[in-house]
Amino acid sequence: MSDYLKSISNLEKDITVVETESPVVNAENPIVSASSIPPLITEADSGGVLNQESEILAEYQAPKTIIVRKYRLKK
Amino acid sequence: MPTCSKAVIPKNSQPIMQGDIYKNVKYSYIDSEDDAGVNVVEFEFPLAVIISQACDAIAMETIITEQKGKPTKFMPSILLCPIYDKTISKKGEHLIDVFSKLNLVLEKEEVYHSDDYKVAQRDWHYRFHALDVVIDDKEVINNAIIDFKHYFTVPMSYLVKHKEDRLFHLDDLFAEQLSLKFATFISRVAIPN
Repeated sequence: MSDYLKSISNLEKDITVVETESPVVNAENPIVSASSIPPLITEADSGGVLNQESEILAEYQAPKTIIVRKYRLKK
Repeated sequence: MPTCSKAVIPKNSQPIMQGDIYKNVKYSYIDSEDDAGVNVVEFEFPLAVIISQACDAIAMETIITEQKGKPTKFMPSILLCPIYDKTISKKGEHLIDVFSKLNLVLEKEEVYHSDDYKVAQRDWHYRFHALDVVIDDKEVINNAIIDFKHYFTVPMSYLVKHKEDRLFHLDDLFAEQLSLKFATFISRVAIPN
């Protein structure tokens, strides 16, 4: 079991993905994926102050759905 | 009209704390295993807010970043609640992918009714929190709802690693409002039929 926990804790680095199921978004699927949401501004360290990019931020809408993925880790 | 929660864009150097709103938060768990491998399910919540107390989160972040700390400060994971679009979540459509991938049949039901939302707008609902967020009088999140029932946790190491996904920090008053409402939700006593 400890090997599995190690795999999960280092999921982004050591994972060996055998198969995945990616979310399907097509013309018939009205659900908007998170990837289609307009990009947000990133704040510089001197930030905390909105600049002209605030208009982009103001257009951000709450995303529509939870995205689910499945992974299989080889032992 | 729901309470407009005021927020700021935090500096990267500011600690992770209660009221921080992250995007694309991944929560995963081991679904099953066999001799050959382990099956993992990952939920990606497009938006989520930290509910854990600020002092606890700050202390655990320090442990993670400094790689040392006292046992009294250790926390295995940080509590968050997801933020959903009000309109989509009303009919449960925000869970379509969840039910599909988990091979569950999604029975049609209104997750909440119009009256529920009106109550949530008055900050009186036990489960839902209507959320509008403004920064410097500019609305940055609207038409959103927090579902306290969908709470989940992630390790602080995840939040530290994905600090660039932190969007806003709710002012302390509004962050504490959420934690108090969550406490009310989790402590309710529901009598089964």
